Amino acid sequence: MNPRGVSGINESVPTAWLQLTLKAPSAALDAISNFLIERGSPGVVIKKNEVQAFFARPARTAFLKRDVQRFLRAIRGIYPGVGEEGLHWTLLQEKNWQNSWRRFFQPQRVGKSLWISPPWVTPPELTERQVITIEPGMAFGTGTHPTTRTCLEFLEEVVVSLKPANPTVLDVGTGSGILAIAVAKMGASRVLALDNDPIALKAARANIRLNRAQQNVKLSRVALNHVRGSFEVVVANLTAETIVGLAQALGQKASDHGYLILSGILKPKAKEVLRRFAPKPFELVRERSHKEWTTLLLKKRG
Amino acid sequence: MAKKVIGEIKLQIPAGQANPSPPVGPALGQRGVNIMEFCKAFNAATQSQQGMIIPAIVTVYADRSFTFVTKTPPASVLLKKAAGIEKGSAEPGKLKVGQVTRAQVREIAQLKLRDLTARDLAAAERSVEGTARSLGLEIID
Repeated sequence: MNPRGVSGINESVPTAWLQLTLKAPSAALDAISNFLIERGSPGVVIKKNEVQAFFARPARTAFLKRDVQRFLRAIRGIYPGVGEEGLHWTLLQEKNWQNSWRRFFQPQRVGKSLWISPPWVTPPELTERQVITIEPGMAFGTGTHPTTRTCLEFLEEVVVSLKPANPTVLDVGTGSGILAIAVAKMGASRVLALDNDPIALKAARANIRLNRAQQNVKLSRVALNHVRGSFEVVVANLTAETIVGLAQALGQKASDHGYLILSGILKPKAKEVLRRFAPKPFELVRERSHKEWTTLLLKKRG
Repeated sequence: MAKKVIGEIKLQIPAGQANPSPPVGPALGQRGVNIMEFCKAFNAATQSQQGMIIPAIVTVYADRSFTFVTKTPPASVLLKKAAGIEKGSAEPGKLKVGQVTRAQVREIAQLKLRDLTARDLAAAERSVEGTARSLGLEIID
């Protein structure tokens, strides 16, 4: 991949930036940030007792440095010692920042049949895996989290075990839509994906379209207890607390002999969650932990 | 939605003007935050405040999905507006560039009380006074 080859990037002469990192008591950060922005920094990053400013190719670096020193000296009457710990000036080469974050997202094989990939990577031509393309963004479910992976693995197991039937699936708290899209591609006949967060709904809609899954996945913001009917598979990658709060509704939405996948549960809370579902009306089929997270696969007794 | 926070980034950027250059690019890029998505969302959220500097707090979750909130403009920006000045002093203490009334300071402290780390209104007022003096503003009764 050539990160510079992406359209929309300014490919003119690379610019160098002068970065200033400055320690200061938090009370002084507002005034200092204001000064640095007035001197040309297009904004600042504020950390605990620290501010970072950036100056694009300053023509007169010496003047800038002198101005900053003079300002800091002048406010020492108000904030004693400010700037005395030293100013850290570094040269920052212009980079392809627009795409620099992408290095955190690599395509990955999940289970036996899935290939989860960000949209900028072309999947291998000869793969027999189902390709799921997810744009990482403001909705949970970018594909890199252990709970997402384990839910996908359990969904795969369940769909395979139900073959040749094509199950109906309810995805509670769909986030990016990743689980709904994946299970539709695995062969679910109908998937209802719920979320109450407008940002998640927007992301899920875009991802469903990106994966051409509109036919089988229906997106809705309706509350769980207003959903009609039951489903052969219900998946909820939420948190232990939310799952416990929704326990009754989740249980009711799974059809007799249907499966319930619960995730987003921190390991120490798994027992407490399980108690709400098993031994009745569900039995525990499998429990899988990855890092600090536990996922439960349950089957409803007939 | 196993949302576990792995980072928080505080920025101050001009309303409606976020772009992948510094400070946004380097700050968010190293945390794996989708920079263009942040810029679009921030610019949409702050479109009506053009000309203002807006603080934003970006929260990054374990799977590097993120959310952000915007805050009221920094006290320095509100003080300049109250004093009717474009810029603060280059040498506060020596060069005064304007005045604000104590009532204006109080009003700003009230507005910023939620965002400042101040314990109470009196502490918030002291904090805003410090910022005012650092801008070269005289506080009058």
